[in-house]
Amino acid sequence: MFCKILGYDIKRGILNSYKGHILTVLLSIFICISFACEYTRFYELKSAHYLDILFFAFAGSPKFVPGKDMPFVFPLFWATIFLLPLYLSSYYPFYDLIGYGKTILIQSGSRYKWWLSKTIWCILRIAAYFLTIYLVALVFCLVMGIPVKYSVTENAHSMVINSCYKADVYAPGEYALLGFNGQMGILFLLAPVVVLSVLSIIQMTISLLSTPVYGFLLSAVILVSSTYYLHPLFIGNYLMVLRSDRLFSGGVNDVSGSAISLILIVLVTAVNLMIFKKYDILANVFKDE
Amino acid sequence: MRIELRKAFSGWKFVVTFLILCIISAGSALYVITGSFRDVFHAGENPMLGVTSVYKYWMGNDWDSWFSSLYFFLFPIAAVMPAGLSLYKEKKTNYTAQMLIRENKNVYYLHKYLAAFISGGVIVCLPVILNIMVVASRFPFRTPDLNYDIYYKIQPFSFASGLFYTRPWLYLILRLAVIFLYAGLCAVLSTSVSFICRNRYIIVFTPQILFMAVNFCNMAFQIPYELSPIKFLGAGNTYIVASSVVFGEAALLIAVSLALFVFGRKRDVL
Repeated sequence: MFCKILGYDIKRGILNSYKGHILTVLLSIFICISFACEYTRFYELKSAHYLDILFFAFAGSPKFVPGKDMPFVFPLFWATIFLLPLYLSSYYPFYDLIGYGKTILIQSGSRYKWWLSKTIWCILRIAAYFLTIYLVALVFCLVMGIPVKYSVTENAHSMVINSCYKADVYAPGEYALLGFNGQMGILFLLAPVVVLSVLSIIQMTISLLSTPVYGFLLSAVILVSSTYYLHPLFIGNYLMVLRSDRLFSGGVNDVSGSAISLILIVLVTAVNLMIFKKYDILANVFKDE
Repeated sequence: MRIELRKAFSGWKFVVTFLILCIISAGSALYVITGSFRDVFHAGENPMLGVTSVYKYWMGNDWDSWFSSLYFFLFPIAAVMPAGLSLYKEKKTNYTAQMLIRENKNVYYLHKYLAAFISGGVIVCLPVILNIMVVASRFPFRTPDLNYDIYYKIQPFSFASGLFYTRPWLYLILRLAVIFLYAGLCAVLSTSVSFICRNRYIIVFTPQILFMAVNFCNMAFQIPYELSPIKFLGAGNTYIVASSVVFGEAALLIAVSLALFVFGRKRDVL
């Protein structure tokens, strides 16, 4: 029964939601155009690598030090990329519960199965979003003749660093630029999926307890606060290249970030199952409608 | 009209959203106030009286904390919460049909739009005024000094920059009016989208996604002016804020809302 519910969720919430995929493809094209415009200001486009596009898109903002005559500039470009999947995954579980899902929930005979299916759906929806971005970037590389190599060029590295990093703002050794060999590791592509899955599951819980808009607001608060504070517990830091310990001393480690996120997924799911067991979820959903 | 306004201002969504915005604006005020207590140890060196002013530390000019960025990032969604979904819900429950046989169609929609505009503007503007009041409990309304221009983040030739140094109170009122205008227009735009869309999330998120897309254009096409209201309403702008962009974009939002309304009304079987 669980597999049937999950298959139904994947079909209805991922495969059939073509509007969401169109939006993702448009965003990905915008990312590629932005990269090309920025990169060609300094270098030849064909000297770039595939990973440069994602390195540029996931850059984020450097560590912020308050009171150092350094304005806090919110990285809206980065925020758009990471908030869109949260928006796309916010409304399906809610709509499902007020539609067919209500019947399926009763017929399955288990609240746990329904909820677990939605949790896995959240992870798959986020994965589908990033897979689309990676594929569009790949197609862009093939069309523009950019070598498809899994490494970051020195050009892209210096372009991103020079655009926002000011070494004199930080105390000696506080946030120093490290030697970079261009290798980002496989977690560079996987960490966004794992970290955003945590936010998506938390968001789903808030959505079903209040409304999806408040769930989305909470995700936005977590991401915006992460841009301000460089701390391992603000999980938005793991989504920013400019906060990585591969580039800067005192940065966050993507392995520990993914591990923390995986633990959080398990913890949040367990807590959710306990809440969902007794909570009168239907009454709350219909109150909002 | 009174009923529409009462509906907008009395729901639990208005109260919750207003409280969230008040917490963020109070956070910004408390951040600058506690920061000023820390700086007092350096007061002997240079008290920098020109900088210690409400005009420097109010939310729309606070570029030192994340509260201001968060506030202006979330304002399009917050503005929609009280009444942006009102028309969608009334259409869905057939309340609109009941109203239209009792009242003139144009008057009904006009009241709906006015209520959305006023409630959107009020819910976003009131916490900003609250922020100014809290900041004013610590800092005076001292006229900004041009010698300290690097601390104000008001770029030369940007929107009303002349007024900022000559009549700062008028500048503050103008900035509040622009915030009110944009918040109101977000709610109006959502109301208009209700005519062509049946998905409540698209209705709620349309202004936010539109403003984020505008910011993307800024980045992709290297436009030297700040285009996104998310950036130019607060202090986190990186480019010049042109007056023509501020008012031109507002006019464009009005035109789009009007076009959607006219198109939607034609399709309306009632």
